[in-house]
Amino acid sequence: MNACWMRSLAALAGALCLASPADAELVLGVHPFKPATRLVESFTPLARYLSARLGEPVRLHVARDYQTHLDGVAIGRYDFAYLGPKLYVQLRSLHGPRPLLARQQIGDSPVFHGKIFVRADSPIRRLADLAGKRFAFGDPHSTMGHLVPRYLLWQAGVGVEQLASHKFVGDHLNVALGVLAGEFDAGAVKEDVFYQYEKRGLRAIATSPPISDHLFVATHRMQPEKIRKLRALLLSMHLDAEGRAALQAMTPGIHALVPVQDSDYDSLRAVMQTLQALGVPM
Amino acid sequence: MRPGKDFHRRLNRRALLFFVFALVVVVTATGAVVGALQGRFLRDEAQTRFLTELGLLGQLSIEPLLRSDYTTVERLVEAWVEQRHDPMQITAIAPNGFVLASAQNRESVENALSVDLPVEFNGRRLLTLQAVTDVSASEEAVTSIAREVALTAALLVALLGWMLWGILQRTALRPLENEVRAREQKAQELRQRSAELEAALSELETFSYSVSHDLRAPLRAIDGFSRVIEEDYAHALDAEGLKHLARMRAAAQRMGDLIDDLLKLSRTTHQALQPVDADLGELATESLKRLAQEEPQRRVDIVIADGLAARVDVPLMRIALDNLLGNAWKYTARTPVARIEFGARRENGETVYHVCDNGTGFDMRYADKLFKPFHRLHGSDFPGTGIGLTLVQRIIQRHGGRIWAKSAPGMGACFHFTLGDTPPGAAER
Repeated sequence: MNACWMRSLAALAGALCLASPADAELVLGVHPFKPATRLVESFTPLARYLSARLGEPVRLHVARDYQTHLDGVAIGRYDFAYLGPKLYVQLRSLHGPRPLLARQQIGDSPVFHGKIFVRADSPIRRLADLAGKRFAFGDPHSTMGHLVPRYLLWQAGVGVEQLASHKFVGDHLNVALGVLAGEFDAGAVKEDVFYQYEKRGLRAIATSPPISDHLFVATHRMQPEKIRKLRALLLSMHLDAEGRAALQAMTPGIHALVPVQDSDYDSLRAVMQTLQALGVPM
Repeated sequence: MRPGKDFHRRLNRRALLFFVFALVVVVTATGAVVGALQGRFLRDEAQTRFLTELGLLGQLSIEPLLRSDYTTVERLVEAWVEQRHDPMQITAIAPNGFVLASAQNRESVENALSVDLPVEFNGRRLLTLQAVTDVSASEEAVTSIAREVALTAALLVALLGWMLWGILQRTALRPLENEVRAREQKAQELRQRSAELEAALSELETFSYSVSHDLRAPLRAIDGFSRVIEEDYAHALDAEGLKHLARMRAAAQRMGDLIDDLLKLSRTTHQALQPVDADLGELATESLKRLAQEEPQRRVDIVIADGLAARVDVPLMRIALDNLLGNAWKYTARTPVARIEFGARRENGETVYHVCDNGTGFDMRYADKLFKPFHRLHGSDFPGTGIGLTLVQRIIQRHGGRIWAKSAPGMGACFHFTLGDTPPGAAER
């Protein structure tokens, strides 16, 4: 009943957005997995690249939080969006299918991992040692900042209730810094953030199974013709130098944007269903 | 050699330049003191401002730290350093020693002021901000101020100097130059007059010489022919005639003496002085010896002091002493026990010579006529032309000295005189 009401509201809002003069530009929505300033810096080259190739301006919009971002995609506040895997699974679950554009591939495979870590000088060696410790999560909607590590903790027999405390600190960087600064004994982030901070004094105690990486989806607001054109453009970005530069700026180490299908996220979907069954709010 | 107008102008310019230089030094020194005070004030102010702003950064960090928003603190620290112009380094350290953020806008910071600012909330340490800043910015400001002050002072002083020079020229130098020009003109006129006078004197001397010489010829003829009449025609004249003839010859003789004295007086006045070291006592002795030879029958007590050395023109001084001692000799002729004394004493830093006798003396009421030519206080009682003392006075004056006399009738007379240390006009004519 509640979900149905939400869907109606989203449809109404989407209709209102469609009625707005959105044709003048394309809006790319990004979820706040890093500070907004850094996201704007990272995604601006991509927006410029796409603007030049599509022949219409692409404007960047960083959502206030993950939930707002999810709602934005659902109601068509953007034309297309960059999503974390968890958000996509949730979007699909709550609002039905959306046109998939591409997913990112770092290295050889379009999947990524999460890391649970402690400070390098910490006596903690295993996940089971985290009982009674302070733990930092990223955003509640974050795939590697919350859901997957929570699943791993559950598998190790450490529920959040066994922790001395846990806190959602927003983006992945705050998790790493919070552990380094001694506010938390352990935390969880996606692997590229872990590697970024590892040399400052972090040590991983667990690595998640591979999860299909972040992806771009279109919203209902976008015309099919434009969707096809945009998808083709995203999938061929790595073929020219400018495109590769824009991709590198977006996520360091990215190799290309590759085709994506809904089944790529089935493993995550299973994790989420398990957590949902355990009563973890989604 | 008289210094020229250019010399004075150069001297004035040099004095003005020195004045300007001194002024620059004073103003610069004042500027340096003011700069130092200003520097201290700026340093204190910069330090206070830095601490205040660092405290503000700490306050701004509290809210994100409480929300575990460390990236915001990182960005705050970086942005804070980026926005600052003063060289600085800052490190944000977590309570466990982890360096959360570190930013700097210079490779190295000199003249460093180090501050450790703890960021606390509710008594709990959240962060420590370690900052190092460069206080030399204020020193640069001081240097800049000092440079500006020195430059401004130099310009102002130069301007003032230029104005002062203008004022000085208008109010002092030009009037002075005019005055100097007028005086030079007067001096030129005086030199011209002096030359004219000299020419006139020379002419007069030539005239006197020629007049005396020309007068002597008819005088010699009168005397000569009178003698011929006296010798060859004495038998043709009676006693009265011979008496008149004798008077005529005496008058001719007297006129010859007058002409001699006049020529002597003229030479004495214009003859160039040739001063040498001489013993005046010796000159006086010679003079008295000559007098004694003329009248060997006279008995006179003579007292001449020792050591009467002086630098004098000997021929002129001999004439002066001859006259003074001659007068003493002459006016003691009727004194039973005659006495003549020549000596000297030190008085008020100068040597005062005296020639004294115990002769007839004179009345001091007529003392002012003593040295005037042809004035004779004793008429024809004693022989003489009336030129002698005038001659003496001129000789003494030419030696840079002065002469005066003291006497009373029947009580003898004393003539006192001084001689300048270096006779003026020694090289003059």
